[in-house]
Amino acid sequence: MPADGGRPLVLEVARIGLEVRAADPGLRLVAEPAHMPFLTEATVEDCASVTLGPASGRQARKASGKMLFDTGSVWRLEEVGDNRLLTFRSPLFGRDPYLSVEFDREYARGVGETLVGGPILAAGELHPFVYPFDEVVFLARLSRGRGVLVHACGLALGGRGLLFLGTSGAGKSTTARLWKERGGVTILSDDRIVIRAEGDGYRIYGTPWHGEAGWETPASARLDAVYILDQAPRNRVQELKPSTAVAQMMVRAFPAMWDQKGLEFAVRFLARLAERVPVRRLQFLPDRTAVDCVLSAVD
Amino acid sequence: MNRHDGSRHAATRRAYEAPNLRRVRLVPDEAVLASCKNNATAGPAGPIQKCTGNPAVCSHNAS
Repeated sequence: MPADGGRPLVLEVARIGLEVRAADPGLRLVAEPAHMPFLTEATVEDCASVTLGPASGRQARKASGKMLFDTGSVWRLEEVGDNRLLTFRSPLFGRDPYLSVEFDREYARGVGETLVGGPILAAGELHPFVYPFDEVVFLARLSRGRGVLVHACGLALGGRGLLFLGTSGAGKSTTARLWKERGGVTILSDDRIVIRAEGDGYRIYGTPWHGEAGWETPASARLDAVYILDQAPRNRVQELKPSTAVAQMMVRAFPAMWDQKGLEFAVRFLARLAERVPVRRLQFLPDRTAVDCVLSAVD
Repeated sequence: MNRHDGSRHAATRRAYEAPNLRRVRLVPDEAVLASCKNNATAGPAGPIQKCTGNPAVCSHNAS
């Protein structure tokens, strides 16, 4: 979806916004297909704003601050004065950053530049929502007390939210497919779900960062139960103690690893959740009997 | 504490459970958003992570 007349693109995930403007009004802002359902024309109350422009040289600005976190591969976070500098690299585009964005400490405002001819900016089109930039920004903002992003398939079943957590290969997309075949459900995402507190409970939100099955929906549901996926020769549901549940959820979450307060927030958030929402281990066969097994456990 | 109080306390006390250290497997690349994503969320250049040079670390085909 191209933006016109210098209008920004606004991505909304879990009631959190990310607005991107092009520094050069001659550039067309373009969103990827998976992000289009999450674009909004409405005002998002809690919204970050980023202005992106072309790098003046053959690379985006190089990092020059104190290193806070380095993934060792595709992105880094540095402290520059009071600000935070995110830089992104890819072996496809050499050793230097193809994107660098400097934010304030709350990641509310950012200004960045990107390599001309790189993955973000080419042929007069600016593609701001290219993985992992947008996801990293949301993750940083979530860690400021807003919620937790988890590696999970989430679905809404008649207004009730079920969450199936698992790392790669655990069966999230398979789970999404099995429930879709059953019908009567909305798949919020088959790979990434945002959990936010709501009243005394929790709400799960779909995200555009979907998995192999390609399901993503900008919808939400009240969280009723959490299942930790575990492929096995038979179906079985086992209640987990809160302490075990927190550990199992934590390794399937995306906390802000670089920020002690953000990490502590994620642990507290998941610990509180484990006290209020049933967390169960789901040993399952990858067929429809797994769905029946879960339904039998749903109150 | 008298004898009566002590026996009531013992009846409601939970059995001692020794601390149990459990190892959980963490996939660092996944945990910090450094692993591969699929084409639909990767932009016009396709996936731009290190798996482009090393398919062995690609999680693109996983669930």
